[in-house]
Amino acid sequence: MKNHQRRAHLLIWLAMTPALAGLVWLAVLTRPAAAPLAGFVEPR
Amino acid sequence: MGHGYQAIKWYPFKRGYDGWIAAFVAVFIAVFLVGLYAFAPPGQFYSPVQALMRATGSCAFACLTIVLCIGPLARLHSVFLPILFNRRHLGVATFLIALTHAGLVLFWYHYGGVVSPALSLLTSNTAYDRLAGFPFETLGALALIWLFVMAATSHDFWNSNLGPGLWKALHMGVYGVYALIIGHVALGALQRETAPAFLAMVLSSLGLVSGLHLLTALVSRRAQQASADEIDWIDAGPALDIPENRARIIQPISGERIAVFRYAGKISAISNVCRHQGGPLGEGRVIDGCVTCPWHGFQYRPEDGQSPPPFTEKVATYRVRLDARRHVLIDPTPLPPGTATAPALIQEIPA
Ligand code: HEM
Ligand code: FES
Repeated sequence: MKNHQRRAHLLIWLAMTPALAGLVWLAVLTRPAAAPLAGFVEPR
Repeated sequence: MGHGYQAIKWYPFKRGYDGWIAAFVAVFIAVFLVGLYAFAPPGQFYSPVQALMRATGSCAFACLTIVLCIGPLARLHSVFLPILFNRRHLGVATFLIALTHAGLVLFWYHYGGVVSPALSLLTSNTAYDRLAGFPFETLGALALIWLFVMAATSHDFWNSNLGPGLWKALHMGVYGVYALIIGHVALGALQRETAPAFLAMVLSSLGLVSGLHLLTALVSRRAQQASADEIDWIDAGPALDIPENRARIIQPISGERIAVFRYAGKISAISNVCRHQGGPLGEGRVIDGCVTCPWHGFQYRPEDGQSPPPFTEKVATYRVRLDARRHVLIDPTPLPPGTATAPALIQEIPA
């Protein structure tokens, strides 16, 4: 790998790790309290 | 690419690889289905189509996780190199499984209405402004489109046709695909599935993929820094400390890394960057007199950086000599790719 590619990989993952972890965290925090059980979602 | 013999050496393995992928997919889907029905809370019912839809979605996610882990694992330890060689097969398999998943979703939720299934998918929910109830299907669809682009261009024909730079850029998009899928699952399945197993699946994938990438990025910063006391020639350390048929990787003060190979009593230096997809040549070996890339086996003669006929790839070479302590000295100015330059002879007592 060229040096700029190596740097790009490091930067991508330094940015993506907290962003994705934050997204999962937020999504779980804000999920509807009375989540309907999976499997009862009727075909539209 | 090296020559016929390289391909032949890998060939039986290549077929076995596809067999392993098929076996993994079959076992994963079977175990998922059994688990889904066995651990369903009382009173919960899954139709077979729904169960399969979730099994194929999860299987595609698992395959994507593995695809992403192969690169860093291969950099961390050479035992993982063989799975890197045909990683693209696993990538294509990921696309096909994801396509099955999307097909089942369209069939189940969006087929039989007055509008086309695809239109129904994209228009039945437009709540893009909030997290709860976000149309997570769109994220999956974008990921699927990009998986298709990568699967369609995965052959080496496209690598040489588009050029390694553009090809690499297209295929780096796999990180974007991964981000889209994390969003797809977090805003979709995780909203309805409160069972901790599903959250654990997502978090362990994220931990593995991110952790391995960050770890390798840090580990591969370790290349011997060229010492600055020589003005024209840089000191690459004792020649005899390089293992036979192996290299030491040197980071000059400016420019790309240099792979310094020791073989047959000689020292030669070539660029560390493979012409194929930028593989680290200095982590490869000299096989049959040629530097062999650890990633997919492209070969280069150490004396002139040229691939042996009939291949035409060329990498830059560097002038080398030994000093009185038998340290390797390198002229850090790259010679034009394919330029022959005399190797340094280790046995020769330098003046
Ligand atoms: C057009 C593309 C796609 C559509 C429309 C789509 C749609 C869906 C839907 C509706 C669900 C929820 C299923 C349920 O009712 O439980 C789902 C779940 C899921 N999808 Fe997709 N998806 C797409 C592409 C993808 C891709 C490309 C991947 C992975 C590479 C993926 C991975 C998953 C996963 C892991 C789940 C969670 C399965 C579970 O409940 O355990 N999807 N998708
Ligand atoms: S052979 Fe593919 S990167 Fe070197």
